[in-house]
Formats: sequence, C-alpha cells, structure tokens
Amino acid sequence: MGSENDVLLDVKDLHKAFSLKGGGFLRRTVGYIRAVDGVSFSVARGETVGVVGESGCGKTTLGRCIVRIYQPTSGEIALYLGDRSLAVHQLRREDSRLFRSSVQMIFQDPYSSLDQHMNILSLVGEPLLVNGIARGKEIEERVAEMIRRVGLHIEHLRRFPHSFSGGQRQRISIARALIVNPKLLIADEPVSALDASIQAQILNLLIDLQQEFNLSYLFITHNMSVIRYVSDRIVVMYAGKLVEMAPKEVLLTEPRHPYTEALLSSVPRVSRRDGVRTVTYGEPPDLLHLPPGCVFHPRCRYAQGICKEEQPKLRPIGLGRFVSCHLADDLQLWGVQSSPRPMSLS
Amino acid sequence: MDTSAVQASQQLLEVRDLQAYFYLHEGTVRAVDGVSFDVCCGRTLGVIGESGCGKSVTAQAILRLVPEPPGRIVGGHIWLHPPETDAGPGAAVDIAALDSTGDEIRAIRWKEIAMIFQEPMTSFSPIHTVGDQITEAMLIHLPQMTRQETRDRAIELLDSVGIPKADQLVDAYSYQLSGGMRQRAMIAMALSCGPRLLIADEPTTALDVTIEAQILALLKELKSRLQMAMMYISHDLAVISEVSDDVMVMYLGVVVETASAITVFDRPLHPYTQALRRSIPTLEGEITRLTPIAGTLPRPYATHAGCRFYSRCESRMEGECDRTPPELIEVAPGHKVRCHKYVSA
Repeated sequence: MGSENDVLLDVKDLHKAFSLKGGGFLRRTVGYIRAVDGVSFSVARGETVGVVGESGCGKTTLGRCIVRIYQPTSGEIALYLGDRSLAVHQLRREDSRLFRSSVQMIFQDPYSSLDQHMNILSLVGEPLLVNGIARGKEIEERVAEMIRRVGLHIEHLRRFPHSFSGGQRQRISIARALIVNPKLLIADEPVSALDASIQAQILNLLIDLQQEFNLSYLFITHNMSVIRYVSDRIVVMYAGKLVEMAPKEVLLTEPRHPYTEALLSSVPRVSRRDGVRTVTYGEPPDLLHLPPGCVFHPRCRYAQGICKEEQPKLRPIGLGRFVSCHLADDLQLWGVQSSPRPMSLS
Repeated sequence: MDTSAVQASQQLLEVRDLQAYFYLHEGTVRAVDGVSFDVCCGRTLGVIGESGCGKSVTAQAILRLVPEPPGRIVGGHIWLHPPETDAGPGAAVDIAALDSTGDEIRAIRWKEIAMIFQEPMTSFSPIHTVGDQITEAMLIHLPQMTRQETRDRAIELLDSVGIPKADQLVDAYSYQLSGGMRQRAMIAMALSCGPRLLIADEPTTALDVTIEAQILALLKELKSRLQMAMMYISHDLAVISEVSDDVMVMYLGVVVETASAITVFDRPLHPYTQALRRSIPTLEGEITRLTPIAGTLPRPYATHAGCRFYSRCESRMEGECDRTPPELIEVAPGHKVRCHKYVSA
C-alpha cells in the first residue's frame, strides 16, 4: 500500500529465541523458547498496524525487539527516516539518540510503568533532557503543552503518579512517549487494564494524536474489537508465527487462516445471544515443544496430512494479503458480518 | 400453569436493600448501598459494572466473605430459599443475619452456593493437589461419602469440565495446569457438592479469548444439564449478553437498571447503560467514533446528595438530579430503571 517511500519500519524474518537453562552446576541450555519465529511485515508512515494474538503468540516480544528492549536472535529491523535508514537490530552507538527520539513505547500497566518518585514534570520532561533535545525552561514549556494536549492540566505537573487514576496515568505515559516527536509509537495493550468507559477516552486520544503528529502505530493487543477500531492493517500471530496479514476489513470479514477464523468466532458478541459459536478446543502449544508442521494444526478443524509435516510459509494471497496456511486457497472461512445492527435508543 | 415454568421462575436468592460498607482510615466506602435483586432457579443473572460499582462486594456479601473488619453488612437481607420439597416450601434463611464464621453459613458455602473467581491461582492451595482440594469440600459437606467415593467423584467432575486425563491430573498441583485448565478445575471444585447457585466473578477475564469461549460454552452446558442458577459478574458487556437471561447494571454501589438481557442490550434506558454501549468498540456494525463517558469515577469516599451518575450524565437535569436520589422504578414489565427521566410527572 503506497510507494516504497512510504515505508517507515520494515521487519524481515525476525527471530527471537530465549534459551532455557536447566538447574545444576553447569546450567546447560535445555531448550529454546521461539518467542518470535520468522516474522516479516512493514509499517507505513501514518499507518496503524494492529498485532493481535493470544498468550504466547510473540506479539509483546516483537514489540520489545523493535524498541530494542530485546536484541533479536536473527533477522533485520530497518527504520527509514527521510534520507537515512537505521539498522535497528544492530544499531550503531551514534544512532541511538536518533533512534530513541524516533521510536517510543507505551505499556499496559499504568501502575508500574511510571516511576513513583518522579513528578509529572520530571517524567514527561526526562526524554527531552536525556536525548539532548531541550533544557531548562524550555522543557517546562514543552511539557506543559504536551500535558494539555493529552487532556491533563498544568496543576498536575508537580504531582506524583500515585495521585492519578489508571486512565490519567496512561495519558502521562503517552505524553512522555510523544514529547520527543517520534515517528513510530509501539503501544502494547495500552487500554487493557482500564475500565471500559476510560478505554474509549484513551483510544480516541491516540487516534487524534496520530492525525495531529502524523504518527505510525504498532498497536499490540489481544482484543479484536479494539484492533478493529484503531487499525488500518492487522497482523495475526500464533505461537511465534505470523499467520495472516491483511487490511482490517477484509481480514475480519473474509479471513483466510483458520486461526483468524477461530479467533473471530470465539469473541463474545452482543448481537449473538442465541447464535451458534464455533468453539476451538485445545490450547496454544508449549513454546518449548512446538508441534511438527504447522503450529496450529493440532487445533485446526481443517488440518490435513501436509499440515502435520510441513511448516507453511507466509505467501501473498491477494492485494496486500498474506497468509501462512497450506490450504488457504481451498478453504471457505467465516468472518464477522459487516452490516450494521442498529441499536434503538429512546 | 406449566410446573416447569413455575419452578424455573422460582426464587432461589432474594436480596433486599443490601448495604455493605468499608470503614477505612480515609473514610467510609459505601460499596453496596441499597441493592435489591432476585436470582431464580435455573436462570443466569448477569451483573455488569466497572470498578467500584460494588458487584464483587455484592457477591462476597452473599457468601459472607466480606472481610469484617473493615467491611460490614450494615443493612438489608439476603434470603436463601430452600428447594421445594413434597412437604411444601421451607423457611428462607437470611444470610445477612448469620454469623460469618458460624456453622450455618459454612453449611451454605459450597453446598448451596459456590463461587468461582477471576484468578484461579489464588483460589487453589499451592501445596495441595487439585484432587485433594475437590475432595476436601465433599468430605466436609457430604459426610456419607467414603474417601474413595469422593476421589472417584473428583475424577468424574474433572472429566465433566473437559480436563483431559482426569485420572492423572487429579493428582496434579494447580501450578502445573494452564490458565484454562485451572479455571476448569475451579469450576469442578465449585460443583463438587451440587450447589443450586454458582456465582462467577469475572471467571474469564484473565483468559485468552479462545479459552474464554471454551469456558463460556462449558458453563452454558453445565447450567442446562445441572439446572443450576448462576450469577455472572463481569465488566464485559458482550460476555454478559451471551451468558445471561437477566441483567443488572451497577454503578457506584447501586443498581441503575435491570431487565432481561435482550431488553438491556436492545433497549437500554439508563443513561449509564446507554453511554456504556456507545463507548465500547464492537466487532460488527459500522465503525463510528466511540463516545467515551465523560469525566471519571468519583472518589469512593464521596457522598452524593442526588443521583450518583450526575457528574457524568449527558441527560442530567440540574436542580433535580443533583438534589434527589432517584428510586429504582419498574417502567415496563420486568424492566426497572433508577433515573429521574422516567418518573412520570
């Protein structure tokens, strides 16, 4: 979608494995957890790519590799900034400042992601100081402006995180992340810990800020409805693999991977009171002992012989659509209906 | 009249004007402040609300699990109706009046009313096997069973909740089970003495959506097979809409709306219920900008002269809503709302 010049982030065949060490004197490696196992996708300028999947799918690890909390085991992460391109997976020291002011992250737990001993002015101003972007009075001015922009007040600057609600703390985290004017924001379950009525406030804030600052988002969540609301394109992950990627509406209405179908049919829905839902049995695999062939095959209603033997590769299956399934060309899968069901409000 | 319909709508639990307060250093939290509802045999009451609405404390109060101190049931009744026998209806027991550490409430817990929670890890003892914990409840409440019989029953229960190799996993510890399996084991434990009412407090909130779907299907199946009543508490509207027959919406310690599930979701009347619907993203229908509920929850120690939802209500009427607390009124058969908008002049 768009020309190559539009690409901001390009992830190629990313792998992140964690070695599990046994006990005993030598603590030998007993196995590897392939948290991210060969993931490739890109994010364009101004775009929101939603990454969805259940526990153990690797979406959080993916986000952390991109923001350099983890060092990838192999693969490439390229960040395109104007006339420069940074190799994030092997970042040169002289590029770290540029990187940190280009890519930022916000986290799920508003209660543990802010230093309790720093007031809001310090918290939101710290990135400016640390990255050498501003000093002294200018910091306070920029922080004040950012705080207002995220819906808080000047009076809040001298207060500490404990006096704020979960939703307000997320606003503070957003302010802290965006004050350096990044191009890419990685949001890892930013609203999951918030009450339903507050989630909407934060989601709308993120959408508005995206417009205003022309940001790209990598939006990581397990919640399909939230992903639908914020994303342009959706990436579905399972057990470390990217199983399907497509523009939002077609992924939801015409999924091409059985796991996407399973996810969609599992989501509880207000409109489906008496409807039949397809329950997918079993559980995500133990990442230390992945099944042979396709990682999803033990739970897949359509699995055939080849699925148990050969790992499918991610391949294009239409405009902007990619799927990792041997049977994708032959399967007719069910998605969500797209026609609106009006709610009557007196 | 068809007797099964009579029995189906028979009251099992009758809660009237329940009040449970927490006396804290910073102030008094009126966590449950005048809540009334019924749970009927074989039906599921869904309880929706966000943090601080009192839904969990209500559930805990029913089983007298509210820590005393700092909590206390300061008013109201929780009538547990005994099952109909040939001898006619027996006397109802007011759980609120019982000694929270006494034998009477102990005879009710697990045997008549059981509860499952959000975090199965905290309900299970880490040093006892799953089987031991299931049999323990049976040994206490069903003394006519031998140890071997209780063990056999535990295996049967684990199997009935979909745990594979139940005869082996009965000797497993809770940490050895995955989240979904633990939740199933907790359901098995809750069902072990054949309760008439199961209270489920956010049982699937911490689970992956495909596992949640499995647990919801399991609960539906168990409910219909065992003719069990259920009180299902959640902040998730979609889950509540799928599992409930009747729905109760709570806000800051009071019931603001109650009706059948279909009615609450298709024709919500209370401004809070309507606002909640509009503020939640959905998987279907047009994608319109979410309308967040303005403002934030008032402090838990705050007192309200008028309606508790006043500060965030789009339909508020100054002079009335901020001065007089509205009553819960039946505006249509089976549909009650607590809002001045619906009080006929």
